[in-house]
Amino acid sequence: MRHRLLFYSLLLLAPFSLAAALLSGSADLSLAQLFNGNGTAGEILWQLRAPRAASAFACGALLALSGVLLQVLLRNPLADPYLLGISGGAAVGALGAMLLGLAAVQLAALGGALGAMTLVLALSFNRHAWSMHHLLLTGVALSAGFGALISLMLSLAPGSGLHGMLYWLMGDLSYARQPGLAWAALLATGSAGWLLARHLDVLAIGELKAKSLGVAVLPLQAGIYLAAAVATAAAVLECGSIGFVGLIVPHLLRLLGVHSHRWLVPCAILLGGSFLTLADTLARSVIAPQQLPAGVLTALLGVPLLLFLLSRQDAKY
Amino acid sequence: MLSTENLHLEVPGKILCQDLTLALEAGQCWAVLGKNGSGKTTLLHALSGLDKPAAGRVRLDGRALGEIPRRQLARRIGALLQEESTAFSGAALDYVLLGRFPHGATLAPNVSDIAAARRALHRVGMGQAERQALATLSGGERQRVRIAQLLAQAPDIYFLDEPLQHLDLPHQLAVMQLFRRIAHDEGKTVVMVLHDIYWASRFCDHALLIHDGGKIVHGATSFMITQNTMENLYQCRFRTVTTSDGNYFLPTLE
Repeated sequence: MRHRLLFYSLLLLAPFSLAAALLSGSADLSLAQLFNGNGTAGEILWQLRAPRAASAFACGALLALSGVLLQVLLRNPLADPYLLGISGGAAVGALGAMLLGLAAVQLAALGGALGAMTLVLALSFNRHAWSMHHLLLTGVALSAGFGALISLMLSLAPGSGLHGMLYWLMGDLSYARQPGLAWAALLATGSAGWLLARHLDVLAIGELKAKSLGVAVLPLQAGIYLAAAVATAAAVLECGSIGFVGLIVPHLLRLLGVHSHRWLVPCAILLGGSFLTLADTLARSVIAPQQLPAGVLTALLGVPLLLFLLSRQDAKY
Repeated sequence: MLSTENLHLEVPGKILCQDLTLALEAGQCWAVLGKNGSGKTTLLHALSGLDKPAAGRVRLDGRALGEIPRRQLARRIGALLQEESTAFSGAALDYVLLGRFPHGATLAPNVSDIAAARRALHRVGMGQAERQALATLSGGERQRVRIAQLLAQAPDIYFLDEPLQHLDLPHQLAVMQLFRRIAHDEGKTVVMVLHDIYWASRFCDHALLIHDGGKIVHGATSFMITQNTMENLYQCRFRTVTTSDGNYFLPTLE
């Protein structure tokens, strides 16, 4: 019953976080203006804050979901959406486009993400077998490689372009204006994750045991990888590499006693979404009118929270 | 029920099973004996459909295992595997409930699944621990919960890889009695890898011995487990101690 209570609290937190995102910012807007929004107020609300809040929520949810999926797939508690090099690939694409002065930064990031996904997948297959251990190491190695490329591009970049690049890398929602793609990805991967919740539960206790309990392990693993990759790519394209959401949100929920994926998947979506929405709201209002990258806030808020819960947890976890 | 034709198993550089033809029937309780690395686990995996054999076939009621859909197969054949590193963070009952996975319920376990899981926990004497986190239990208690998960799966054929690991003597006895009952009274087939010859000779009606080079012999326990066959199998000297509860084979020191 504890997880049910938690789920309903998170269900309340979600609209609260979105309302907070709509109401706060450098221009003071009241609830009344929110509802009969016209003129400048309406413009600020519906063309700036609403899409940004919708993007933030979808991206946070996608990253948390991706973290849940990858932690099952790789059976590693440290797995997070960036482990498989997808965000690294996207960053190389985006920064490359910025360096060359191309306008299609998003498109280049998409290309980078897809390239990295394919590369990791191709390299982690050997002799018809797909080992998760191999997948993990391939992802880590490629991420390190992408990291080096990113550093190289940063060192080559002219001073004027550096700021934009760094913000992209830290995760920034100021240019997030098209939440449609992220929401579509969230709908697809979230419902897949929820429908496969029992399969995820079984896979989490071991590949061989899952097989003996009737799970078609390889297709399931391929599906999880695909869903996690799509979720990560969709989030990274919208808001750059926002760290810690994918790692921290699933663990926070587990520390709070949510173990079954039937609850973990929807709770992670709600908490991840609310968390990033609130973090982004803070990021643009703490030292307004100046804006901080949301990725910095997620880490600054998430790390102490996780450490606190970890330290007061008994041996059960 | 389950049969093999010319089953051949090998790992790189080693033949583990040569041309095995075997038939397992309902109501039988089998012991699988052999030295470390002789291929007991590999044989169990092949018989339960977890691994493809290098050659030959395993059939369940005449159908090759590979042709049976996994979930359907899991309702007929269950396996207790040697302990894997399980990172399961939930309660014991939730762990046992995963054993109900092959039985239909898609999203959440239903009332009958929960009843079956509770019954299974009670059968291994772990009913009181259903709300406890699996990770907080001792090795032996965890082993009994793992057995309960298999009981909840309720297959027709049970493959048990070292079911007695981590168990104290009274619980070893209880588990052996439980599976003998499952075979003899409930008409299921039980196949277990054991290291203790005494338990094998006292509780199993059939034994299968895996010798070096993949030479396998099998038959009724009384013929298969004697001082001679055991000395031959383990390549060490035994002394036989006869008691009213059966024969003990003790390794001698010289």
